[in-house]
Parts: sequence; structure tokens; C-alpha cells
Amino acid sequence: MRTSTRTTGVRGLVGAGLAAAALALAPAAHAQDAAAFYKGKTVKILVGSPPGGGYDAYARIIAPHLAKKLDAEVIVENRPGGGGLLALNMLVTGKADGLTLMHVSGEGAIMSQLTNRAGARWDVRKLVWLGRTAQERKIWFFSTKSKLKSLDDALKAKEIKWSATGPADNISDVAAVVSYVLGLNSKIVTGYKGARGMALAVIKGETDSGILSSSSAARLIKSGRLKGIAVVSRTRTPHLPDLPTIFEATKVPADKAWWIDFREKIGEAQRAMVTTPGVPADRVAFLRKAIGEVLTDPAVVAEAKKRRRIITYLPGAELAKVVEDALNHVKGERLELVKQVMLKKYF
Amino acid sequence: MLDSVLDGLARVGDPTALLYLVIATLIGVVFGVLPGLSGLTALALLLPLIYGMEPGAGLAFLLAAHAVVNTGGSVTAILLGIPGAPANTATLVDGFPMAKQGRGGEALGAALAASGIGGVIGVVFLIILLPVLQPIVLLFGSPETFCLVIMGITFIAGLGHQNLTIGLISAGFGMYLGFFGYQQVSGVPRYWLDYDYLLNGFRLIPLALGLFAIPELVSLAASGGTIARDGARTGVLRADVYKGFRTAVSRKWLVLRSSMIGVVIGIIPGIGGETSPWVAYASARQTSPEGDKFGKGAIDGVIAPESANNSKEGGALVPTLAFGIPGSSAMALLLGGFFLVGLEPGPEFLKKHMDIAVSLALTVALANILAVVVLLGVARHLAAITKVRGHLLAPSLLVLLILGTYSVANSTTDVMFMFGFGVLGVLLREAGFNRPALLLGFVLAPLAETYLHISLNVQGWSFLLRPISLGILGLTLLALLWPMIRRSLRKIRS
Repeated sequence: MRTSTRTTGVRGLVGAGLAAAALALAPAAHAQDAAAFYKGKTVKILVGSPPGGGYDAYARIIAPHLAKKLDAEVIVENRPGGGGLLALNMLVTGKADGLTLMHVSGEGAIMSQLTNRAGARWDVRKLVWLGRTAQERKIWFFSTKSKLKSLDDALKAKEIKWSATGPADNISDVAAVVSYVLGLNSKIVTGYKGARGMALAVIKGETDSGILSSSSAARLIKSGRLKGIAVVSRTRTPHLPDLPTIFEATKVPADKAWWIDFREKIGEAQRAMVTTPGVPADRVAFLRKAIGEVLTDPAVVAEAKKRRRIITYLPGAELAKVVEDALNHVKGERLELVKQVMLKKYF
Repeated sequence: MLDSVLDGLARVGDPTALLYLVIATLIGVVFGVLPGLSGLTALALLLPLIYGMEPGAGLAFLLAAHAVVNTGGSVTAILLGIPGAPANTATLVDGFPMAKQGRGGEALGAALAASGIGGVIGVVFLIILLPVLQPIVLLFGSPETFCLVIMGITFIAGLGHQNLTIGLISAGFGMYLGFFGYQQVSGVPRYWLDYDYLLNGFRLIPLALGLFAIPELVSLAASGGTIARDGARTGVLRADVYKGFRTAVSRKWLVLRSSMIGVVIGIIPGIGGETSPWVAYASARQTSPEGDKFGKGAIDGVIAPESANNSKEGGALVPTLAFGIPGSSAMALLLGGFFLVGLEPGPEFLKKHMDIAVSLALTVALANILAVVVLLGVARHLAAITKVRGHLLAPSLLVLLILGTYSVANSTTDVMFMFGFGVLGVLLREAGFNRPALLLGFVLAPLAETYLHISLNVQGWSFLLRPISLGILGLTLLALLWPMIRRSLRKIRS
């Protein structure tokens, strides 16, 4: 039976209307998909260091709150090894279903990639960044037992020895940057076990100098065991408000200032939540939202503060952009120079 | 200082604290007895539980559990030839032969006495050193650590009851195995064969259990007999256990010396607790008039390592409390515990919370004593396990081994490697290799390499001339030459 033109027109309108409604409802439906997906499942947060350390502490603070948001079980799994490398490898080679997350050293991941660290299987550009938990500036300090008493001494010294734990460990690379920018005659001694082992060596006077994150350094400097020299940044740190920045403490050559900015930019990804590349976009959005809510919840921030952990949240999408920018800053010849300075020059 | 000691005592005497102590001690003993489950695993599992506990109580809970793991571990090491924890491996070298001879109860009694006394001695030293902790830790730098590792390596030669060459070859092979994975100084991954697990090298627990436990398991299952050889004295009497206990108590100097070794090695962060029992064992062998009997069931070979592996806990607390530098990987976890309850070890901690520090030390001592009392009570029942038929025992033990190895890092790969090393262990045992030397080479070689590199980078070869380094090297030389010196002295006397 032939339909009249009027019915066809009405059908067309209804069809268009339905289509428009479907389109409008689609995002909500996806979000519902993601929520339904996570409901009742077990989500793992990998930590690349043993229990009790900084990365572990943040993960354990987040876990119960995230569990409530996701309506899932959230457990923390420690997989130490290779300075967090092993766990990150596990994450990127695992299933891209969004059930495995990691509280990673973002700057470690970036530095390892930049320096072509053997065994690294990830590309930080492809990593799905869910949100930053914390970030601290780096402090440059001397030993109280060193012959070098001030930054000027360091500039004139025939040799200044640094402690570090290994290549691309967020200590030795910062030391290398500072040395290159100021033209120091540095020798970086790697191999110390952990940031504490490295700090102890400087305290003992075995080496002259070192780098630590501001909260760790502040404790040692305030108690007089170490001597603060400068903050390796453009801005001071609230942990040590009287400590000058490297730009305030000495003259930084204009053509080399970009090194400090560049390394600081990488440091912005210091502690971050990530998940496997290839996780469906709706789940990523769901996770980012949940993590954002947890990390900005005043109760969570206060709880972390009680455990001496400060949360400095940055949303995942912005963090991804920070990482992208940092990597784009060094290409080709500049990348070769960066590798040379951070891996070879002072070792 | 005295006020702090009294305050510390008051803390420990609190009924709730005592209750936690008892529970934690029992947990620690069980973890020790079960092979593969070590102090690290115990700490990792208990750590989240203390969140919310009163700081002193929470830390005491953790410490008490950890301090007695090696006491419990001696049980399986002696009766089954399976180290309950890596630091008990030295105990089985003489303890297990004793069990096979039907003297398992005696060995157990000696081990328990040594553990208890060693643990208390470690604590005594900790308390004595508490006021001067920081200068002590500051004395030992990378050069001194290197020299101590060298001392440990030279004792490897003294570990075998066969000839020196086999000992050195075994140690060499162990060193080779120790080189797999990331090198600590340069970050270069060695021999990882594009296989992620090997980036971190071989792991200690799969290696130790595979080398020592699996061959014994195979023998048990294949022989059809019992651990205590048929024909060995039957009936494990309480008297046996007490005989062993009294023997250990009578060997005052041995226990003291072994405990000292444990404490000193425990104080040096970076050497790791697995080394001290071996050094104590080797030192006992060097100085004992019955040195040849070591490896075949000499009771001194049980007393020495068991004193050391408990006293090292007191030593390991020294850098942990003084600086927040963990004296062992278990201490690193304990540090996590400190942060969890809102405390931070270091100079300020000792000034403000000396009473907590003292109470922790006393907790370790009490836990040690309690563990010994509990285990003594059940010792003869435990020793009866050596009478169970092998084909009944072996499957249960196998399950325990698998679970224990898996629980370390939730890794089935670890379990696979344990079996791989098990094959190796069987072959090496048949070929007469010196497996303790292999294990020691495995643990020590990477340390020697790292600290040598660091010392050379910091100071060049002149690091050998530093006073403490020279002293340690001198002691090492003395220990090496001691048998010869003793022989010459005897000749001069007669």
C-alpha cells in the first residue's frame, strides 16, 4: 500500500527526532556503560616500589576512596624492581581494559624514555594519564662536611662530587642539568641504594652535593644535617621559603636557562596515576573524573596531610599535555645533547 | 636516658601493648616456620593493619612479628632441611644432618636458645648505642661496607666441608647468577634476554628454596623413608630438646661472638641480613676445635648462625632509628610503618620519642623470649615430623613451598624459577657442589661490585687506607690465617 507524502514527512521528522535524542543520550549511555563495567570488579593500582614508600603511601590513601567512586574493589599491588620500571612494563603490556592502574613516577618514565633506558617498553605519549597526585620542586644541597661552603665555592671548585642512585633516577639527571647550566666540574657517583642511602652519603661527607625533592630535603636541611643551596626552579618552595631559587642565588646564563625550565616541566609529572594505552575512551573519562573527585576531596587532602603527604592535583588531560609539551621541546640535535649531558658527561 | 628507659618499660608493660606483642609474636613464628613466607612478607601483610593504631603499639606489633621470624624459621631448617626464611639457610647445613641422625630435638633446643639469647644481645647493644647512634652510622661509609663484604666473601672458602676449589667454583657460579639484571651503578641490564622478569635479576627466595628445599623434597619423596634415618634413635624426648638448650647456653663465647657479628653486620645499611648467619657460621668453623665436623651435624654450626640471625635485628634498628635509613629491606617496610602512624625516625625522633625507641627495643627482646618459650613447649611435637613417612610429607611440603614462593611478589614466575633452581639444586647436590657458597656468592657479589665502584669513584684506591677499612681487612686476614696461627701456637706450646 502506498503511503501518502504527509506520512512519509512525519516519519522522517520522527526518525530525525529519534536520532537526535539518541545522539544526545549517547554520552550518558557511555558513562553508564563505564560505571556498569566497573561495578563489582577488582581494580588494581600497581606501585613500582615496596610498601611504605612515597608512591605506595599515596596509592593506599587513594584506594579506599576510589573504591567508593567506582563501586569496585581497589587493591594496591607492589611490584618493585628496576626503579619502578618493571611495574610500568607490566602495565603497558597488560590488557587494555582499564582494570589496572599505576601510581607511577611520571618524571622517571619520561626520563627513562628520553635516555633510551634499556628494558623500557612504554611511550609516555601513549600512556593514558589519569591525574597527578603530587609534585615537588627539587632542592640542591651540600654536605655540612664538604670543603665547599657556598654556591660560589662550587663555581670555582676543581671538582664537586654528587651522590645519586643511578642514571635517569630524578636525582642524577637534575644534578647533571645544574652542573651543565652553571659549568661545574662535577662528578656524579651513582649506585647508592635509594634516595635515603644517597642522602646519608652526603650527610657523611662521602660526597659534596646532592638533589632531593623538597619535602625530603627540607626535613634534613631544617635539622642541620644538610646545607640548602638553591631550589632548582623559577619559584621558591613553601617547604623552605627562605631558600633562594637557582636564578636568585647566582647568574644563570640566558642561553642555558631553558634546561632548568625543561627539567622542571618534566618534574610536573612527578607522581601520577596512569593506565594502559588503548583503554576505551569512556572508561578513561570515567576514571579521570573519579580520580579527580578523590584528589580534590578536602577530606582526602586532610587525611594525606596527616600522613605528611601533600596532594597537588592536576587533571589527566592537562597532565598529558604537559608531557607532550616537554617532549616536543627536545628533538633532534637538542635531544642528543640532553642525552649526552644526562647520561655521559658527568659520570 | 634513664627516664626514657623507664618510660619505655611502662609502655611495654601496658596490657594492650602486651596483647599485641603476643599476637604479633605468634604470627611471626608461624610466618617463620612456613617456608617461603619470610619476615618481609609478614611485614607487608601486617603494615596496612596498623593504620589507626597508637604509634608505639603499631610499631611494636610490626617489630615483634618480624623479630621472631628467624626463630620460627630454624624449625623447618633443622627438621626438614628447608629454610623457613632466607636467613635460616645457614642453620640447615648442620641442623638438618642432626635431624637425620635422630638428634633433631637437640638441634632445635640449641637453635631456640641461641635465637633467644642472640635476639636479646642484639637489643642490649641497641639500647647501649641509642645515645650515640648517629656517630656510629656515620663511621661506616662505602669503603668500610666494601671491606665488610670482602670479609664475607673470604669466609665463603671456609664454608665447604669439601675442598677449597669446589667451594670457590660454587661461589663463582653464584656470583655469576648474581650479575643478572640491572647493575646498580650504571643501570645497565645484564643478561636479561629481553625477558622483563630478568631485568631485576634472579630473586633470592626462589633461589634459596630451589637450591635447598627441592632436592630434599625429591629425596624424601623418592626414598620412601623418613627424614630421621631408620635406625637412628627413635622417640624424641623432651630431654633431647633441653640438652640442646643447655649446650647452647654453655657456649657463652660462641653465642656472644656470633651475636656481635650479627649486630655489626645489621648496623651497616646495605649488606643485608642474609649474610650475617654465614659469617657467624664460618667464624665458628674457623675457631672451633671440631671444625671438621661442621657440615655433618656439629651443634656449634647451629648455634652460631641462629644467634646471628636474631641479633641482627637489633643491629638493623640502629640506622633505621638514627637516620631513617633502613638497615635491611625489612626495615624499609618498618620505616613505612613509622610514616603510616605519623612518626619519622631520625635525630628529632630520638630526642622527642626516646621512650618509643626504648620500648621498641624491649619489644624485640620480649618477643624473642616469648617465641623461644612457645616453641620449646611444642618442640618435641614438631620434631616428630621427622618420623613421618616421606611420601606423605613431600606433597604437603611442596604445596607449602609453592604458596610461600608465590606469596613473596604474587608472581607465578617466581614459582617457575624456584622449580628451575630446584633442578639445578638436585644436579649440584649430586655433583658435590657447595650450595651455601653459591648462595653467598649470589648475595655478596653485586654488593661488592657496587661498593667498589662507589668507593673508587669517590676516593680512588686510597679508600683502602682508611682506618676502619684497614682494620676490617686486617681482621679478615687474621681470620683467614687463624687456623695456621693456632697450629703454630700449639706446636710452640708442646
